[in-house]
This record gives sequence, C-alpha cells and structure tokens, in this order.
Amino acid sequence: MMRRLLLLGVVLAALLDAAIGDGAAAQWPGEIVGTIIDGETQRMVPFATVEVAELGLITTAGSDGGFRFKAVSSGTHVIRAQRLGYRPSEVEVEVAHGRTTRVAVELAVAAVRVDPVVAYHPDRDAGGFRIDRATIERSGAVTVGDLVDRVPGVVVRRTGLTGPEYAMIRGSGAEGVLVLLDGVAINDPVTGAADLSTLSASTVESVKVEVGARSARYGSRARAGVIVVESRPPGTATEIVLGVGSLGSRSGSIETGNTIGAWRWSAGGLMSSSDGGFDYRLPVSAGGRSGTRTNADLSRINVFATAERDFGGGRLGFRTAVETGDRGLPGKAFAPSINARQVFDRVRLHASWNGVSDDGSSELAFHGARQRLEHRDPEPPLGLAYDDETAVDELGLRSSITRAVHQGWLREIGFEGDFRHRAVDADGLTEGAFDDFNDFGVGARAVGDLGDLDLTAQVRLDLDDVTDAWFVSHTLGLGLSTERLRFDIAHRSAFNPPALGDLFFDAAIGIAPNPELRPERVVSEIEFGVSAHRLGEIALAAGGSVYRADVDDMIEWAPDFRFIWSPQNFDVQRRGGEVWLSATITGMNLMADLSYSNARVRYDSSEGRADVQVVYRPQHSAHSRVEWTPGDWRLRAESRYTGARTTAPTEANQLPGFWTFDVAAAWLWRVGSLAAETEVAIDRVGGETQALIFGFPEPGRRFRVQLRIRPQNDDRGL
Amino acid sequence: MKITMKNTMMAVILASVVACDDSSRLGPDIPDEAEVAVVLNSIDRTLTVFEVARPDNMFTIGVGFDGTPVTFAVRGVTAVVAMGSLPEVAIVDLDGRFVIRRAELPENSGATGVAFIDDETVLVGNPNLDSVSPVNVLTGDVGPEILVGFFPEFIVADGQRAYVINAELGDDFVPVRSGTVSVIDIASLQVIETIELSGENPGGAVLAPDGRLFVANRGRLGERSGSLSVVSTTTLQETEHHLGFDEFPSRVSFSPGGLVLVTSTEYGIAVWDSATREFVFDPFNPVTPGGNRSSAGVGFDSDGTPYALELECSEPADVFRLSEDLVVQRTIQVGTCPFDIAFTTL
Repeated sequence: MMRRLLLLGVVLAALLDAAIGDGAAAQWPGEIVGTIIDGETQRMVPFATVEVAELGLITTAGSDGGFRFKAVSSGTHVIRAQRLGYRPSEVEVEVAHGRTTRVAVELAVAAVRVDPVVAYHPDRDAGGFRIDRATIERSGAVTVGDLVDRVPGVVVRRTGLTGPEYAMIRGSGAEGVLVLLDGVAINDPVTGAADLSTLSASTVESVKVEVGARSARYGSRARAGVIVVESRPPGTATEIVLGVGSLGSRSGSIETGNTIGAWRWSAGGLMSSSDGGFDYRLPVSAGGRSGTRTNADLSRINVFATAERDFGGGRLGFRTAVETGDRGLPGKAFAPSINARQVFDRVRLHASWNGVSDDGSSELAFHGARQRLEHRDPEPPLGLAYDDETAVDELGLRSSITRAVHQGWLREIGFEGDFRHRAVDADGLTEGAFDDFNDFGVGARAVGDLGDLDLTAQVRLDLDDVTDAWFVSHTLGLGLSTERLRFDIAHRSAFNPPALGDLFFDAAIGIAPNPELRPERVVSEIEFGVSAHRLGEIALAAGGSVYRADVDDMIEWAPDFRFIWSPQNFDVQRRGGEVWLSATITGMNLMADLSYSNARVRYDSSEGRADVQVVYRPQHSAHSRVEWTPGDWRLRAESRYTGARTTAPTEANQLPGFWTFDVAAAWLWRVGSLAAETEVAIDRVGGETQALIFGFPEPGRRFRVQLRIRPQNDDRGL
Repeated sequence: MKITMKNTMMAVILASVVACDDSSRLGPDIPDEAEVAVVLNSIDRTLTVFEVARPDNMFTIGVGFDGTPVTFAVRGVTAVVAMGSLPEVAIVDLDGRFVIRRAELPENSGATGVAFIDDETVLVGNPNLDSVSPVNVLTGDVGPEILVGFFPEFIVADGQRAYVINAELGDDFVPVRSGTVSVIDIASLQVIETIELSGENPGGAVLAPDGRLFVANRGRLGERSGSLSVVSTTTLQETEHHLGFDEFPSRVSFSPGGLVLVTSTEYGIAVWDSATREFVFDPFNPVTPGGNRSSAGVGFDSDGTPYALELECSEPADVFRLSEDLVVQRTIQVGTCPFDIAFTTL
C-alpha cells in the first residue's frame, strides 16, 4: 500500500508539474521571514500571495499570515503582496548573506468590487481549505453546511432542506469531525456531532476545513478533520440583506459597526424562516412514493456583538452571540412525524487576548457557553411519546505561546494548553451517566527547516473525562518546496471517545446504549500531498493528496436481530485521496474550480464483516464551479456529484449516484449613496429529487432572491 | 508529457464518471427447473438464492434501500418481501433476479407478515395500523385495508382462508393481552373469526398437512414465557397450549415426519413431537447447529431436508443443511441476519 501511495504521489506531482508551468529560482544563503497584516485592524491576513518579482520567488502566506523566502541573494529587494479584497502592497527589504531579514507587509482594504479569485486557497501549513468572507458572500450559501459541502473530502449529510446538517470528512461519521466556533467545540456531547445548520453563513467571517487526523493540534474528536469557523470581527461595515425563496423561505439580516474611542465594535442579527412544505415524488429507483411534506418548517434567530481594542501589546477582544432555532423533524417520507420538533439555542461569550511580536505570538482565551437542545414528539409514528432536553454549560480556558528560535534547524517552538469544564443535564441519559466533565490537554509544537525541507512536529496529551483515559496524539510533517511545487508528507494519529449517548442513552424503543464501547482511534494516518500555483493572466492553483487512515474501533450504530440499534465498535480500512484545481483568468473576470474526492471506507473483512463500503459514505464525490463577472454582473454555475451509497452492509442495495446543478446571477447597482446587489439563484435546475439518505425527499428545483445593501463608502464594497 | 488544463479537467471528469459506474447483477446460471432455496437476509435487505443440489451456485438480489424485512412469501418464481418498517412490499422476479415493482402501503403502516392467497394476490400485514392489505403482485395495486387484531406480524394461508397472527402489542411493544388469530375468508376478504390464544406475543405460525395451525408465542422479553399454541382450523379454536418453550421462541416449522421445530433467538431449536405432545429436544437440551444457540427459523426442501438459519446480524451468516437427525451436513454462507427461508423451482 505504501508503495502505491508513493507512486500515486509521484504521478500526481508529475501531472501538476506539467500543468502548472515554468518557474525559476536560484539558491542563495539569505532568508526573508515576514507577516502580512491588515493595515486597518492589524490582524494577520492569511493566504496572501507574496513574491519577490526580480528573483522569480513566489509563495503563499500561511493561515497566520506568515511567509518565508529562503535562499535569497543579498541586496535590496522589493516584496509584493496581494490578496483578494486588498490593494497590492510593496515593501523594500535589505537582505544580507547568512542573515534572516524580518518584515511586516501591511495591506490596505480595497474599496472597489473584488475580482474573481481562487475559491479555496490551500493552507499549505495545515493541509486545509479556507473559505474567506468574500467567497462566502458570493457563494449563495445559507448555512455553514452549504459552505463546507464544496470542500474536497467533505460530504454534508442532510435530512431535508430544513433539517440538521452534519459534515462527514473522508468517509468518517459526523462524530469524528470536530467543529470549532471561535475556538469552542460545538459538537453535541450526547451525539458527538455538530449541526452546521445552526450556523448561518452570513454571520461567519471564514471557515477553514482541515482534513485528516488532527488530535495533535485540536484534541478530542478531531479524528477525520476539523472545521474551524470564525465569526465576523469588528468592523465599520453596515449591511442589510433580505431574501425570499421557494418553500416559503424568508430571511433578513442587519449588521453594523463603528469605533468608540479605542474600541472597535460590530453587532448584528439574522432572522430566517421557512415553511418547508412541498409535494414530492421519490425517484422510481427509490420506490416512487409521493406525498406532501409537512412539519418541515424552520425558524432561526442569530444575534452577535463583538468588540476589541489594542491592549498590552496585543489585541483584546470580546464576543457574545446567541443562536436559536425551532424546527419540525418530519422524519422519513414513508413514516412521517407530523408533530416531532427540535428546539435549539446556544449562548456564548468569548474573551481573548492575542499578542504578536517579532519573537512570536501569544494567546489567552476564555469562553463560556450554554447549549440547549430539545427533541419532542407527543405522537410519534412508532413507539412512545418523548420530550428530551439536553443542556450543556461549558467553561473553557485556552492559552498558547509561539516563539521564534534560531538554533540549528529549529525555527519555531510553541506550547499550548486548554481546559474545559462541562456540566451536562440530559433527560435522555441514564441516571448513572456522568454529568460533570473536566477535559484537559497540553501540546507542544516545533517547526524547523533543513535546506529546502521544512519539518513540523506536534504532540499533544489529552485527558478525556468521559472515558477517564489519557490519549497521546502526534503529527509529524515534512515539506519540500521547489521552485514550482510543494510536496508534503505527514504522519498523524487521533482519537475520538464515545459520545455520552453512545454510552448512556436511556434505553428506549428501538435503541440501547453500549457502556462497553471503546474510543475510536486512528493510530497511523499517512498522507502525501502536492500543491502548486502559478500567477499571471491565467492563475492556476492545484493540488492533491492521497492518504491511508484506518480506524480502529470505529463507532457505528447497528441493529441486532430485534432491530434494536446500539453503537458498536468496528475496525475500518480507510484510504483515498482528493484532487482539486482552481483557475482564474483575470482578463475575462472568469474563475473556475473543480475537485474530486475518493474515500474508500470499508469494514475490515478479517473480522468476518462483509468487505463493503460503510453505510451511507459515498466513495466518490465531486464539485465544480464556474463564476464569470462581466461588468456589474456576476454569474455562477455549480455542480455537485454525490456517488453511490450503500444502505446496508452489502453492495446489493446501493443508491445510485446523482448530480445536482445550481445557477445564480447577481447584479450590482447603486441608488444614491447605497450600493446594492440583487442575486437570483436556482438550485437543482434539473429538478433532481435524489438525496444522500433514502426516504428524505427533496423538492427538486427551487429559487432564492436576495438583496444586499451597503453604503457605497463601505470599505469592502460589493 | 505536456498536460493541458483541458486535458487535466477531462481526466478528472472521466475518472469520476468511470468511478460512478455501478456493477450490474451478476451470478451463476441456475439450470431450469432446479430447486432453489431463497433466504431473506434482514439486515442486508437481500434475498440469497442458492441451488439445493449445488449450494455454491448462488446469487443475491437487493430488495430495498430501507426497512426491516423479516417475512416473505414465494410462489413459483415470484417472491414478495414485506419490508418491515418501510411500508411497502418488494415484488421480486427470482428468475430475472430483480425487483419487478414495489407496492406502497399506507404511510406508517409497516409491513410484516405476507402470504399468497392465490397466484396473483398476497395479503400483507400492516402492524402499525392493525390491518392487512391485499396486494396484486402483477400490478402492484393495493386493495382496501382489512382490520384485524393489534399488531399483525405473520400470515399463513391455505386455499380458502388466511390466518393472521396478531401479537397484540401496545405502543411500547409490550403485549397488552394474549395473542389472537384473525381468520380471513379469502373469497370475501372478510374476517370471519378471531381466535383467542393462551400465549402472549405470537410471532410465527405454520399450517400442518392435517390442517392444524401451530403458533409460537414468544411471551415477554426476559420472562422465559414462550409457549406453543395448536389451533384447529376446523373449529377455529385453540385446542392445545403447551408451555416450556422458554425465552422468545419466534418461528415454528413442521417437518415431514410430524415434528414441530421451534426456533428461538436465545437457545436455538427445540423439537416437539406433535403426536406424543412431548419434547424431543427441549429448550434446555436444544439443537444448536454449528454450536449456535440462536436461530431464526428452519425450512424444508422438497426432499424434507431441513435447513436452519443462523441468527447472526453483524456479519454474513450461515445456513446449515441438516441431516434427518438434525446434524449439520453442510454450511452455506448467506447474507447478514437471515430471518426466513423458502424453497421453490426456477
């Protein structure tokens, strides 16, 4: 297997090398280390393109805004940085032989409409995909689930248009994906999964998806990947967005911000609702049943306020937010629940201080949160009435420190620690279940380089209070940058303890807990990656990765002979890869991206299980998008492929794969001092009614109209 | 090699399209007029069909994307699978190896218990609606519901009548009273009698050649209160009720030699002599094919050879071909959680 992975990596590299084109560089003993900073907010600007034009050196800044040029000739050089939404900036630096020159490059926010850009710029340091604010606004996404559904390796599991949304990464279950909202895990402690439909895209500044085993950095639950969601930062923007659409959907949001003395602040809110009902007919291949979908309504309210100021050589920030919602849970079409409801609300408060200096950075963050989730059905289609509520109160503290060092090959070291206390009150758990948890984790990180090689080593020790066990996780990364390509190889481990519901669900009709359940573990994940980009009239960015990440004791709910479902441990063989390509033709205002993912996740047949793909984990998925921005118009066409899914541990009952196609047109216009954008979007233009999960009907073609209004002097423009 | 962007994109698209190609039905040829065993695998939602003479000659048919099928009926080359929690029946052409059509039952009805009442019609139990529905297997048309007892779970039929076994369960799936049998006149599709049983939670039944109806009463979980009822189809009354069948006997079959084989998920197979009214193998000394103390049922081929189903629901299970004295002669691997077996000729 290892040889095949290596071979695949080499082939992929050769393809990219040929596709991306030429470049030139020379080997010199100087070095430039720098940071890209937002000139207004003094925040780090991630993923800017940085070049030393006269030397033909180009790189992309990391997620922390940092960049590095090695082997730079001595003398005076001009560093040019550019990033979507900012004006390009140039800084002159003096480089000496054998010395590291440090520089900070400030970017000023562009006041004009942005140009098309590559949507998902690779964060090469972390192997992730980042979706920035500009992309979010142009995406037409309503929820964070809509956003991450476009990321290679991610499949979002939905049960209806207004139902919960759970991200599955590389064939994992949603319980193996950690979702952090402003640094705080929002995974439900009872189910282990995070419902992305509770996070509105309009209140999000950025989303980063890190695929692969990430416990060495993030601790528990980061078995298959991490979704890092950052809320809107303070700013001076004022914006109103109104929308209507099919199925009685309506939404409105407002956001504004300003400065008071040394403080910068923003506040805003969103209300949205949808009736959600429609007449449906399942595809003939799925039984052909027809009917009317009812009890599929949804209403949500999100409110936030944030403020920050410079303090103590860093930035002191506060943020509070409330996310609440109420929705019907209509169940499967053939056994509809006309009275089942879900109510969720989350209140959270964050306080943080971030300091950045030439020597490194420091962070101290505190958070408190209360999440409540209620499920009730006074008249379920089967079994007894229920009304279960889970309330989680959480307090957490996190600190980290990073220091630059110059000893031998070592360039940077970092330490971090976090503590989290949770008090869980859940009606649905047995009386013997724990109700207070104290989780604790400490980690260390070292970054170095040896010539063109860079190395990363991370290790983390976690105490998981649910299982009362210590876990050690690691990441070892090795990168090689050439003038045209970058290669990465990483070896990682991760763990994922059982959720409270797995262990302590109060036995009810059709379900039973399993107190003997063991944690999921990825003991040895290995991944090869290659990426490249080329600037110019036709800018290209491309990459790919192949991985093997078998899961020991994967937790999956399965029925027994009485069809009582309970969680069980299964060993799973997991391997696959992703390829992606983004292109921007500046002169034509045209951009396109394309990705394909393969996640082969099969039960370990050596244990007697059938050698088949794990249920409802499509092995193949793909996404493509083309966006054209002629004048004041923006046109978007998007397609998504969801591959065949097994519905039972057999190949015999596979749901066929299906494509969906979406189109959208937006028009920028101005009235007096206001700039406005009207967007009309049609989802599933072909009327496709298939869904990932059998029995949850889709309405097929549907439309949305959205109006976005800002003052014309808004820095961000439209 | 010079790779253009166009070529690269085409390669990716082609790769994804090729990768999406589903394999079609495969399997060996089975000779005409060959007798086959048809096994319903409940977790898989598949039918495994193997030739009785050469059990390695086997193929599998998927019957549905959802549901919890535990009962099916076979007549000729047509199998009708009641899909359990999915309110539909899958009508399968065993010769063509595919689902011909699906008949939708009412929302939330469930579908458990199915029996042919003539060459074109099956009766299907709607456990959540306390009714049965006639379904035309040629057209998929579903007729009006016929109200029976609470939670009908099993149906057997002779030429004139259908016997619907009602578990009489409440919303919490606990018996609310002793089981009943609704007797339906096939000609009029009317319930002509309801027979009270002495045992609780009846699950399976079989019609003996002499016209007696044997019903396995599962009792309550954990109470070891399983029993066997014997019903006269002449007087339409329970004539015998035998205790001692211990924990959860769910299915019952009748051997050509007059033995009643009662299968339990907890102990295996108990054998009861209907003539002497005594156990041959009691639940404390059961038949355990392959050492397995959990069985879902026993079927007999045309030669009277018994086949016992291993109740293994987490991985592919075995069917055990037994000798006359119930010793394993051959093991045949089928799908996950086999729950029912029938024999027919293709």
